Amino acid sequence: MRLGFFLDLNRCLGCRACEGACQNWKGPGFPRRLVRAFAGQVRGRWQEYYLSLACNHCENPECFRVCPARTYNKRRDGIVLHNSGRCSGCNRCVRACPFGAPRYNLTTGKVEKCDLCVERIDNGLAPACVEACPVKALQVLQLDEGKELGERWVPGLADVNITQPTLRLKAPEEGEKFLLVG
Amino acid sequence: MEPQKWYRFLEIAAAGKGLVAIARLLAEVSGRPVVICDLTLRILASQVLPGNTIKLGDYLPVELPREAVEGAFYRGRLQDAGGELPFLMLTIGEVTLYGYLFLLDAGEDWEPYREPLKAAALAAMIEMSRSRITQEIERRYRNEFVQDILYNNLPNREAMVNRGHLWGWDLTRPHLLVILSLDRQGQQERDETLWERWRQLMHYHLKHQAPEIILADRSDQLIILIPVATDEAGVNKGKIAGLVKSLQKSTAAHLDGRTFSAGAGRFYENVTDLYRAYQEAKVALEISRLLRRRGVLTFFDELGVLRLIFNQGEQELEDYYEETLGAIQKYDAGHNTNLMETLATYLSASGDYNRAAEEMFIHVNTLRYRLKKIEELLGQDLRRIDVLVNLYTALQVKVMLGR
Repeated sequence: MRLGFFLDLNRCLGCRACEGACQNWKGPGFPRRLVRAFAGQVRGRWQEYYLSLACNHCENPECFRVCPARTYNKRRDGIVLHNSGRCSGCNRCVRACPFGAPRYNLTTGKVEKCDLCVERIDNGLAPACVEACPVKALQVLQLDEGKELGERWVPGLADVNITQPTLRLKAPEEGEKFLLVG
Repeated sequence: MEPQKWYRFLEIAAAGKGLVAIARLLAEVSGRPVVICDLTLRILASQVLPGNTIKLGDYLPVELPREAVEGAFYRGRLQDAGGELPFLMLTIGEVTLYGYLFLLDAGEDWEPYREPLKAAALAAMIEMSRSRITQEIERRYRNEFVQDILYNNLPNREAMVNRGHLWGWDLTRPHLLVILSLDRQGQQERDETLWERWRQLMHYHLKHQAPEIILADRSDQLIILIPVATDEAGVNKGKIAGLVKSLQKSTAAHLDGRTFSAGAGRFYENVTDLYRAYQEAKVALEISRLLRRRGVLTFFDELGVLRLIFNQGEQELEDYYEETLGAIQKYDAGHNTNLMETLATYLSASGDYNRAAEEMFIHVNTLRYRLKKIEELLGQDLRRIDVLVNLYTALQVKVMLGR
């Protein structure tokens, strides 16, 4: 069993509640999740959506490979953890990750990244970002062998061929989007 | 068959006397030679009656019949040294297949053997499912331990070495790490039966060829840890290449035409660094897949420039390809020429005019003319090494992009 995030691009409004919840739960510093807007031509159609991205807990994590200090480990449930006690702040993982998940904290001199709120997961709770999402666009998935869910890649996301993230996405559907206001 | 005989078969299974005892009883009851095979047709037990001259090797040389004569009963012919031998076959297990039970020399009149075969197959299923459960438990614990090493989940070297001792492994020695994976065929879904058969085959061959090798599996990959005595790269690579080649040779006949590829990480002295070798081996394997290579062994430290470009985004790679080879592609499309193929062949022949011309079945002068045309289109000199490196890299990118 592997755990990973699931993001429904049709539902995400770009409200950044996930970012706020992350920062709130993890304490001062920066959020380990960032919401980016994408706008561009996809298969001949103009599309706009938001990509809420944190660590994708890849099957072949590049951060894990390049770290010279054995700072990273991957649990049996697939969560990639960063042990800040061993981190020397060399930034090799920051440069290696195609998704920009590990980020350097100037205050502590160490790298930080999303750990899928492992302490909450171990207590049967959803990660802070998932719980905070008002439209349930963000969820946690259990990826079992032979069970494929959603898309692995959409335009705006870095190449996934080598690192094979556990992130799954629901691609934006065809047609016009109407939002009710007020 | 009288109930007493059913009882005898089930009694053997309940007592755990093994497949040989079941084969012996069936041979006694039927008066025919009996063979019990696993899914790869490897002989697990056989019983040939006194006076019978059938010689059996490790595998039963037979093509599995496709159509049943009745229920789960199949008939076919075994190619024997003395000619063809008719057989009656029954699968062991229905929902989960465990193997095959063969009754040899069973001719047209096979009705009397139905009940003894059914009883023997049921007894064999009990035996095989029991041994599979034991093997699965061992496999699960072994996999978890190997994954803990490869995913850095153990606190230090001592913990790894001590736990390795429990498995009879000497983790104080350096190990090479190789990953094997069945090559995918297009968008074809994973074939669980084939994967399981392949895994069992590899397990069997590795156990016999090199029992000191550690084997684990994760997802669709087999992970092999090979203990080595030297840090000489050439010797170690030769060892890996020899092993992969021998595995490919010995398993080819059982894979329905499918091949498998291998990726190897760099050499690390210490077991605590094996996690890095594991990631490197996976990257090597993924890149060889992106380049649509099949049945090959790829070493991470031989990836060269590909190691630098594999992490680039698709758009950057598209741009690089367009800038470097776009003019040739456009010219080929507009003039129905094959300059791109010519360039690829020329580079794969390491710039040897004669070899490249021979491979393309054209005259050397034709090749020279085409290369001249490429130089004109690109405005670059093909004798310069930096130009050749760029073109080679762009051709690799082309394959990676699937163009």
